[in-house]
Amino acid sequence: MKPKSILILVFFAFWANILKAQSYTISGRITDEKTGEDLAGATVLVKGTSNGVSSNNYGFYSLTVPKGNITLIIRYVGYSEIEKLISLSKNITLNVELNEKSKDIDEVVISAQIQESKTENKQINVMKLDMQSIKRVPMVFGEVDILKTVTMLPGIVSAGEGNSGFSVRGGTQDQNLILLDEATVYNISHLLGFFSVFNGDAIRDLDVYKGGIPPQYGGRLSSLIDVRMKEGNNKKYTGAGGIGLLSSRFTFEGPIIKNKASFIVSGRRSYADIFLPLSKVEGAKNSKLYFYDFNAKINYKISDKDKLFISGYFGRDKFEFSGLFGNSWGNKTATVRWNHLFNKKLFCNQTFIFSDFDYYFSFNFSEASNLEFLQGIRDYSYKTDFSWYYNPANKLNFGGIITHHNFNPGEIRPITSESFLKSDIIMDRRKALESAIYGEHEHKFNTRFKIRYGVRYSIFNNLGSSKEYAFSYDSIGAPPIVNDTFTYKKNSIYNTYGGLEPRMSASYNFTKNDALKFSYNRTLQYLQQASNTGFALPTDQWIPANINIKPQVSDQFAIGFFKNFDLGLETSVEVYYKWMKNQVDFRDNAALFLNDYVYGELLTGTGWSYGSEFFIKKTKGNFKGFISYTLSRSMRKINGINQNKAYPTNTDRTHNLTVNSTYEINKLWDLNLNFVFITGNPVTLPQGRWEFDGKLIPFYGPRNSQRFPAYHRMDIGVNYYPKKLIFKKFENSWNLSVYNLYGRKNPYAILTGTRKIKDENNKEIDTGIPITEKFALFRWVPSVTWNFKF
Amino acid sequence: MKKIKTQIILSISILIILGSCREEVILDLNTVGPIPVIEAKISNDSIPFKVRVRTTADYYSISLPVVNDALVIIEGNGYSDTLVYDTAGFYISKTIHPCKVGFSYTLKVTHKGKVYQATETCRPQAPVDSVKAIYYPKRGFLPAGYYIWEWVFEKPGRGDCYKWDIYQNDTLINKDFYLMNEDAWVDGTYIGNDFPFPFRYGDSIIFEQWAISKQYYLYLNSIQEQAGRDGSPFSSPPSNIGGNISGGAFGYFSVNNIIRKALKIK
Repeated sequence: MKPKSILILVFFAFWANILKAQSYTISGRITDEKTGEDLAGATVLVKGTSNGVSSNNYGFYSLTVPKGNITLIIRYVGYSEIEKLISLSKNITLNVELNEKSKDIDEVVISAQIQESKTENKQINVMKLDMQSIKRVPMVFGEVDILKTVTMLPGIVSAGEGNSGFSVRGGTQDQNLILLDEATVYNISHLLGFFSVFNGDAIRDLDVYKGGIPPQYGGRLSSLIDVRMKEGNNKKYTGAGGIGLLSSRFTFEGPIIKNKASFIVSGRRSYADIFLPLSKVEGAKNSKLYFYDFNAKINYKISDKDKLFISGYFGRDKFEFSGLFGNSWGNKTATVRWNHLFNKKLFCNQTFIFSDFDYYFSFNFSEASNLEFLQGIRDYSYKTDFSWYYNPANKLNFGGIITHHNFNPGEIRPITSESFLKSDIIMDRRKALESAIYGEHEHKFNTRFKIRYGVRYSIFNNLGSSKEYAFSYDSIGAPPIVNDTFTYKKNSIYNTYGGLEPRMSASYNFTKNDALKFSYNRTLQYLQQASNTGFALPTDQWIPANINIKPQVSDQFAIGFFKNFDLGLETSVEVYYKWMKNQVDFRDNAALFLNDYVYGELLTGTGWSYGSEFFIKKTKGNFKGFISYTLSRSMRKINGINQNKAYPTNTDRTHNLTVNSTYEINKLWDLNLNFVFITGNPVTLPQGRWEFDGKLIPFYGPRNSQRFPAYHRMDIGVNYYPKKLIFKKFENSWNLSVYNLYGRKNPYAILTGTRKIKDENNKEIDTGIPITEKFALFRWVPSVTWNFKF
Repeated sequence: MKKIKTQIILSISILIILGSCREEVILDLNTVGPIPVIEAKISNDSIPFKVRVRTTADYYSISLPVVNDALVIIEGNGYSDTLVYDTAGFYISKTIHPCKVGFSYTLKVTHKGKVYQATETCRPQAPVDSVKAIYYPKRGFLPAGYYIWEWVFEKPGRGDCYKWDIYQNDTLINKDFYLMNEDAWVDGTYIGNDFPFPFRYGDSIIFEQWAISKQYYLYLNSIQEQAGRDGSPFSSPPSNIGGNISGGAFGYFSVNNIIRKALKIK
């Protein structure tokens, strides 16, 4: 059947449903009884039928059913289930408050888990993580890190030890769309990756999409990590915090107007720099090395139909060495959202978004050798989203987004008047508009067969004023030669790209406990990070598509089988294949920093990745946990690199196994154990050496043709929740953990260089003898954190 | 510009907080080769031309094998000479020919039936106004001492590249790194360059400014980058550096224009 006729058929089914309906609508918000916060993803089900909906990100639901007496069941993971008897003869508003299950009531736990384990509720490619389970995972330095927890999921590979970056199904780090309350977070790590920018206390939950990204979202090829901040308790004032080895945090929340408006503020600061005076490195005493971040959110329920949210994030890393050079970088984001209900079935959300990332660098060696440097990116967006809950079988989502990007590739200024630099050097800023409209239809044919399909149309415009260059090359991979310069007027649209991005997913339930799911999606990406190293660093700037570089395109197919067992065991297998066009890399020895002709240094090619992902999760009993295993391949072929032959990407890992388990010994103690096994990183090792001007130069064989030894480690953690003795309201807990319990020397890097020895005066002498060294980062890292809540 | 590698600075910060667990390992490396390595620098100096021909070696080997049976010819501006093998892979010209600005010179090395060839042009210099040694007390991490300042008129027109070599009592002080700059930010201006190396009272200093081609400048940058590349995740991807010599040899044939100033601190 032609795609067009399928579309007609689906639409016919949709309208047929509309015509036969003679019904009323129940709508409202589902909130947490204790805090008044919205619950996203709660289900509302008509008892005895398959008619049901889930609440959206703002806790809103709308369910249209035939008139009569019905019983509604309202459920949310980890909360007590509620049943409501309703005699339906008109449209009604039903706001529901759910109560978080207490540790002591076992029956409720079980019923919540039955709901959780239904295969039909699980989407292919999507995983939801709640903060409670994230907080239990033992982490290096005891710091709760949502992004490192994400890397334990199948299909996701960490960029390396001590790094928050990750690759999803063979993609690069800049292909992950990471949203904090809808705002793009351009730099996800503090301290070069040892911490993520997300403060666990300020985060409510997150969704991880490895594919099947809804058409509402776009702009990145590989994944969507949708992180939502807490809203703030609108019933009473509460606080929480923690004191750890490297950082501490504090959160305070409460009502502004009881039941109507609330706030949350949360801050965190590291204090690694207090150890600097102990360092033997000269100059370390006068140095700075720290990060901090700050989250805040206010929400105001104007009426039953209108709700306003304002949230912001501000974080910064600072590193200064003895007044000689300084580095500092950070994100700022702000989101203003207005929920409005036009009627019981039509929900809309207007969002204004601001996101900014900047990187500052300075050096001040002497009167003449000094300068400061600034680069960054700043976005303003407006987004509108509508959801039309036509009836339980049909839901339409549609809307659009427009983003203005402003890229600052670099500004350099002298610090003193004697500086060799006589005047400011300001590289041309780049501006662009990225816009999209989308529409999506969710349709349930019957209790077994569900489909969700839609399309996003995105457009990218480069805006003047700007200069662009035409390049030619003596050979592929050679330095660029500028052939022509084009100058564009202010605010003129001088280059446009656009494309359709079809997205669809379908699921078929054979029984209540097993389902087959399929998804396809195309994604387009117009921005990329100019990274020339294995890690994404804050120095790596974001560069837009332009006349030289086309947008990246990816097509992904995935098929999955989900099966649950009565013992509380959930299993799934997913297989994917992904094809990526216009993948960007740099030619060998490219000059990236402060280069007007940076586009001339780019090479493009194709990438492809495929794999199978296995996941087993145990959700019942005192012993819980999951095993995730991925078998995968990720390749690239770029003319001008590796003699134009395909090579494995830096994130290619054949095997990736994670075992995560929690054992609740009793109400006071729980024990957590992690085990990770990953195939060694691909690496390019020397095949010989030569010399130039007395310098040792290795020469290399095919890119990424060899491997590090396999990476594996075990972590253990203990949580202790002491009995509340003095103040009833004050809860506290201790977390003790050891990272890399058996102290394996996992190679962080294979270093090449020459052997250095010390002479009798303790002076270092370079022997000039070539050697290779293995560098291991973390072994037996113990940590202790004290957390409290009141 | 004194190139500051932010990556290096950033990785220092990590080492400061963590310390490290490093150990020497012998890896099972594939060996490819040998491939000829040619180092040839000629200039406007009145000294014989010197060319070194060796081959690549196994990564762990201590020295490179020399080539003593190559045919090495340099020609250009009506000059032509076949260089004579001396020792340690060096070939030396029989006659002296200072290179002239604007003229091209060609190096031709024939070995085992294969020809390796390169051509480069001698570039004009930027007129040096003056070079002085000035005394400074301790500044930041720079100790007290005499520091060199150079005042120079950069030539208008982008694409000029310079390299500096500074000798303290006949020892090259920047042996381990290249002091280089291109004119991208200072094109056509009057510049004061200071060099962050302290000298003592009584030192004899030789200050050399080399006018080099942009290609050679980029090549030396790559050499510096790859020689300094340690393989940490913060270093740039490994790459093989292609010079200007045809036929698949490593190395570079550069034609340099050198201005030299001698100073005695007294």
